[in-house]
Amino acid sequence: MQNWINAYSAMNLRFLFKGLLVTLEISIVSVILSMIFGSILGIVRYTKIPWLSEIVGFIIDIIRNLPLLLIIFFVYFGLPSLGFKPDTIVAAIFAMTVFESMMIAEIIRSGIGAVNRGQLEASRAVGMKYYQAMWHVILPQAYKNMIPALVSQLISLIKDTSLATIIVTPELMQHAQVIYGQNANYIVPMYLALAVLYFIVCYSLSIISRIIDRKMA
Amino acid sequence: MSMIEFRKVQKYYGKFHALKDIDLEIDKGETVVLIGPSGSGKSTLARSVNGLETIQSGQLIVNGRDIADKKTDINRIRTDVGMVFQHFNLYANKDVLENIMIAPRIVLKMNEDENKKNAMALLDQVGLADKAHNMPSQISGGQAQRVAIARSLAMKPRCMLFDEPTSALDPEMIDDVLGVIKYVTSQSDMTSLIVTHEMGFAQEVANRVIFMDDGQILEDDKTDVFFKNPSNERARQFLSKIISH
Amino acid sequence: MITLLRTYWSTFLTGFGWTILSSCIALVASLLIGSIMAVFEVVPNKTLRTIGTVYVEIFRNIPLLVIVSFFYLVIPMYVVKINGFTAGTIGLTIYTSAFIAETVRSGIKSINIGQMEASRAMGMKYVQAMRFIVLPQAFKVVIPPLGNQFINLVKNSSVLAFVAGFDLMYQGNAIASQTFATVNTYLIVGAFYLVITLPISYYMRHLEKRLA
Ligand SMILES: Nc1ncnc2c1ncn2[C@@H]1O[C@H](COP(=O)(O)OP(=O)(O)O)[C@@H](O)[C@H]1O
Ligand SMILES: [Mg+2]
Repeated sequence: MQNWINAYSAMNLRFLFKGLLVTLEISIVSVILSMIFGSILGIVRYTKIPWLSEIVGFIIDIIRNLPLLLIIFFVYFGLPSLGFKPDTIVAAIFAMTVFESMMIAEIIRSGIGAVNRGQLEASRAVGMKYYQAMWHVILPQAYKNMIPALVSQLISLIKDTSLATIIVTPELMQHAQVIYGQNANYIVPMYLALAVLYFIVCYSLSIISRIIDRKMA
Repeated sequence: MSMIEFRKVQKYYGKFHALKDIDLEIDKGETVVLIGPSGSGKSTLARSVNGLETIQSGQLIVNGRDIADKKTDINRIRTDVGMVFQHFNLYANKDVLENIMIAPRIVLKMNEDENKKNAMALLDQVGLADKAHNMPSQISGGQAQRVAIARSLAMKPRCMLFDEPTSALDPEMIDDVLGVIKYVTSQSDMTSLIVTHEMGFAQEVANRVIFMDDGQILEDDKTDVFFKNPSNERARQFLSKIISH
Repeated sequence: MITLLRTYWSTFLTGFGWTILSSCIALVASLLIGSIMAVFEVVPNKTLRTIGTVYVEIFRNIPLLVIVSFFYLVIPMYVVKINGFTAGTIGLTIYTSAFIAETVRSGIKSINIGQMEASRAMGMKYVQAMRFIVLPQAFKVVIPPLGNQFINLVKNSSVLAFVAGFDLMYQGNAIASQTFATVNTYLIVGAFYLVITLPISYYMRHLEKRLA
């Protein structure tokens, strides 16, 4: 019992909370960047521009099918030998963005494909340019349908930030490890805390997504 | 003066020859009805007029511009040519009013007040002013088709294409839509090309009727001649089938 | 890169083997657990439904790394000595089964009730309708997402590296820290993962197109 009380001392909880903030920071920055890059890549892929779309599609397929952990290692340990030396948080954001952009690109591509073709024709028939039709008519509908897929991607992104602990990024998982590194009796309390914190964040998001989805249906 | 002119137009889908050697002239102000069995190429012909389908050879001149010419700005032609689809294709993410206003705003850069006034007037014409803020999913098929017509008219087109505008509608809604189309075609400077199976309606509005089969135009007559005494055997068979219903 | 591959090929292959072994064990086990949980989630019995739902929601919303590390650190402390490979594979199974349960459940629910009704109206029994009409359709719907779950599983098996699970990622790290040829080592490791994941990914896309 005493172990549990000590494990959850104010100082330790504050330290965990700091880690949680870094986790959220990495997640939010990465998700914003990935939405931007992912949308561009997804549209390019959908549009079937000769050569470009095929090359983009190939890159998306390669990166999507690699473990994120490998990309984190590559960015943190590999890139310095190519002359780019990011700090741990930047490396985590960089790796997450590269990986998630590809995942999101694939979601966007199939989301656009799912919008009825008649919508594009009707827009083109009144003289809208391709990008205008995309921007005003197709994408808003595609994003709306994609909200559940995008949110579940965000949830897996948040969970995946824990992998950045391996390059000693000061996020939630790593901070928990620091705490139980001082005292092995704290292991179980710390894992319980981790489970609860990640669960609260991720589960709330999935509930929000369900509510949005139901409201819009 | 002709509004639409096909000169030896050929259209292929891959190897499939969908439009065979089409020659056709439609004058300004004319209303032409296009009929023929399913798969005969009616939609393909209509859709090529505003470049939704590209032709492989021949010339297709719309309002004085050759569509097949790479230098032609296709979006410029599309603002002159309105199109109404069988399945309405209202923008699912915009309400009724916004469906009508969006293209004038971003394509014609129309002033917002004028755009809105214009859109409301059009909605009034098609009898749906009270549905301005409904979403497309909240109106019936017949209403959606009338909105789609208003949406095309908002671009102030010189020419309208209707591709089976009533084929997806419940019978009791067809008349409302036909009424609106009739009003549109009655305007003296409007050119219309209508694909339809409504023969009574065709007799009422058309100056000319064209019969297509197998990618070819087999008959092209003044309306009364066509219905009284078509010269083509297949056209005659088609008519007898459709009218005996 | 060639010399690296030539010198360490047996290490790479060992890791590759452990990765495949872990993925396959976890796949079979999580298909089993996942299907059971999916059925729990749709049956009328309230207790079972709660068990199914709680299981799925908990393990879908906690990072795999947390689950795997927990098993690696805690089980040996209180229960029985297990190595990183075992702990990692157990963690992978639990995590993946929650996702598979979700996939299977939505597959069952996606089949139109009309299909069941029409079959019953033709005189089929419930089990016959299930067996000949509903399940074959559900199966088709579920195959592509299950394939994607398997791809995720293979990629996720890289967390075994955290718990000394002998897998590809683990061996890659060992080689990288010995040789300092980080870029080339990770490129080779990546190629090994792609050998498994890319063909499945393309095959699933092909299937999706054919079934659509
Ligand atoms: N996008 C397409 N690709 C291949 N074949 C097509 C395509 N669109 C139409 N066709 C074919 O061209 C022929 C004419 O089609 P269509 O113009 O739609 O006929 P209609 O409108 O008279 O029913 C049909 O045989 C149809 O199968
Ligand atoms: Mg047609």
